[in-house]
Amino acid sequence: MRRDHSLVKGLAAALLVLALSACPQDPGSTGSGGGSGSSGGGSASGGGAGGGGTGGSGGGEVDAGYAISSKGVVRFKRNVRITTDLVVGLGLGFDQVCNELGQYPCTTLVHPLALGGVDPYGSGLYEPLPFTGVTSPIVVDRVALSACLKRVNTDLGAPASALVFVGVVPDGSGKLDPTAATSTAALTALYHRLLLRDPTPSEIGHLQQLYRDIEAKGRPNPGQDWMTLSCFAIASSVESVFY
Amino acid sequence: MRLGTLVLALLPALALAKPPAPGVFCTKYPTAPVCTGGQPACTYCHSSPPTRNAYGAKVETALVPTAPRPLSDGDFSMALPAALGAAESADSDGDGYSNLLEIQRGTFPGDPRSFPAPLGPCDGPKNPGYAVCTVDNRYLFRKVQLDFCGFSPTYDALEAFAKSSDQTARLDALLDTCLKSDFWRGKNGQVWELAHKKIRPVGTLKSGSEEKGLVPLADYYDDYALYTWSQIDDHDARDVLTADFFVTRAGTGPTVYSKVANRAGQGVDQAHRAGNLSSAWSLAYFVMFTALPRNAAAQGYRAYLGLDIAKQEGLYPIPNEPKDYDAKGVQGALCSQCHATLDPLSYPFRNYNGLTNPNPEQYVPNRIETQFAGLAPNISQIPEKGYILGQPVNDLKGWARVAADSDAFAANTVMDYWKLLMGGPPTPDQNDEFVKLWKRLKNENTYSVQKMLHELIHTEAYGAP
Repeated sequence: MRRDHSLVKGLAAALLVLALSACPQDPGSTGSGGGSGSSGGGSASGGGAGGGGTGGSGGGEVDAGYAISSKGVVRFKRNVRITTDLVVGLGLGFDQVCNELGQYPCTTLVHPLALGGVDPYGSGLYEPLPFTGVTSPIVVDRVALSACLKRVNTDLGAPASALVFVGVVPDGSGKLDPTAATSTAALTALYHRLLLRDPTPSEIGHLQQLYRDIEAKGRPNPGQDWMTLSCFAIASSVESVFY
Repeated sequence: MRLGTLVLALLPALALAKPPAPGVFCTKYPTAPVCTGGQPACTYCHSSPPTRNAYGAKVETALVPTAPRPLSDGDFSMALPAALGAAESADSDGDGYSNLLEIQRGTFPGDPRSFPAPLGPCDGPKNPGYAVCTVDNRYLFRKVQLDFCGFSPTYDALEAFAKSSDQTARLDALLDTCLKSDFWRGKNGQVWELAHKKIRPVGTLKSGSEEKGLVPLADYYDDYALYTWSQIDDHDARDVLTADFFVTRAGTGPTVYSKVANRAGQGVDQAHRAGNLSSAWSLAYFVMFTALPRNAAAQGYRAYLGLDIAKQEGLYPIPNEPKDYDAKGVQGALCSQCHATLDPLSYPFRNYNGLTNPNPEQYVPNRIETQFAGLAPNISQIPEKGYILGQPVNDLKGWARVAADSDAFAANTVMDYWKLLMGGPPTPDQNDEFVKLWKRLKNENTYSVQKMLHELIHTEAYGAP
């Protein structure tokens, strides 16, 4: 089946902005993949205090009532942890998360430095860069989207053995009901697997609205796109790539 | 007893030559974060010696202004405490914080860009996700697994932990499990990552059976193996400097490290081994073709004590040094500031051969006399005795012993893990916990990094979201 990725990519960027803007205590306002985990507190030049808040995966939780920590240390997961969490969370193999040209691992071979890795033997980079670069969030998006595409395609390819999207099957026109119990259960599973918590009602509501926005575009396969982008929104969130 | 006399009595006996200021400073402010396991660099008071920054200039105005310049070292040392005191209430850099407050909080009183961040509130509304500002075991469980095992727990495991009644024991058990993982101790794992900047590998120059380079000179994987050995399984962290043995690595999941008496490719005889300081790689890469291996000494000082002479850290100038045995012109005023420490620090390396033939990467008695005799008129007078941290030592093994037993080594060991796990050095409000960790590493925890990490994960600094 031919896949149309252009809409996925376009909406992915929009979703990321939505997710970040909705996140409480965005560490250093650097967005997904930004910052490398400098500790909070300390000298004013040493990085902002980490809040480590809840929510923040695109759900738009109001953060005004949350306590802001002056002691929290928020750190970027870096390349290996990001990869392993996607592998475990989405039930994939390490060779299935993201490969450039279909064969070169994105996180450990092609883009490790952008994700906080080191290169001691080749370029003499003994420690991670103190700050992530402009390409870091792009790589995070690339990896998360690739992993989510793999998960969705696998689940749709073998619905009987689906891992995350159990019973979520678009109809003949590519559409589905995002409010169905199976859809809600899939979203909850994504939150459990990637963020280790339950979604809030408003987070579920935002993702259900996402389906309606996608469908309104009139593109083919809105159901499949929604499955992929719901996964992407959660997997690429600040809450997912920082800890 | 006069205050000045007391100050002098507390200083290292051989550290009276200029610049003695860092030692005097830390005698006056022993709890200042900048004095934790080390001393402030010259740049604390100087923009570039002898030019002073705003703080240094303020101190200088109170430094017996009527006395003729230059002050003798003794007069300088006696007068400095009072001058430091006189500058405490001022805000030299104009950032709104007094010099004393900046000293106490670990920021730079001469740099307006560096000032204490206000400690934010830890009260206010509830955070439903975390117990903000206090140790939160649920948060800690996930963090320990991510930091030490490299991946998050499952939702079910986290929920089960949250409902358990023995959370502290479970956290310690989780840590023990993760400390055996390849993510932590395996090839290119987290402990190896700490070793990179100490070993400074170069792939092109690697010898050995794994990843052999185009110009194989030495196998630095032996250095990684010894370093990792010293950091795991309740071993003595000081072995990295004092070991007269080698370590082999085998397998994965788990990776196993084993002591061996000898190792192919390692040429220094057992009687002259000093851990990674005398490894084949260190000699090949840091000594190379030099007669007086200043680079090897400075790298050991930097890597294992956290004292970077290039940044004017850890200066303990020795009287009547440098002698400039190799005629490099290091007796000039600007050079001698560092070389009065660096050259005596380097003398114990004089018989450790780098790449010069014959006998590369070995201990060679009379190495200077046999291989570098024509380099400079007095070069054969380079002694094997030297100094480290102001203390005299007979040879490199003595050098390693003093280094390994120093506060600087313990503090630097903990600092490596602190930076790895916290993302940066301790903040002023974390400093007490940091100091307690490295002091206990030296004493109660008998240099066991594993024991230290068990205490680290239970600090508020680590466990409070």
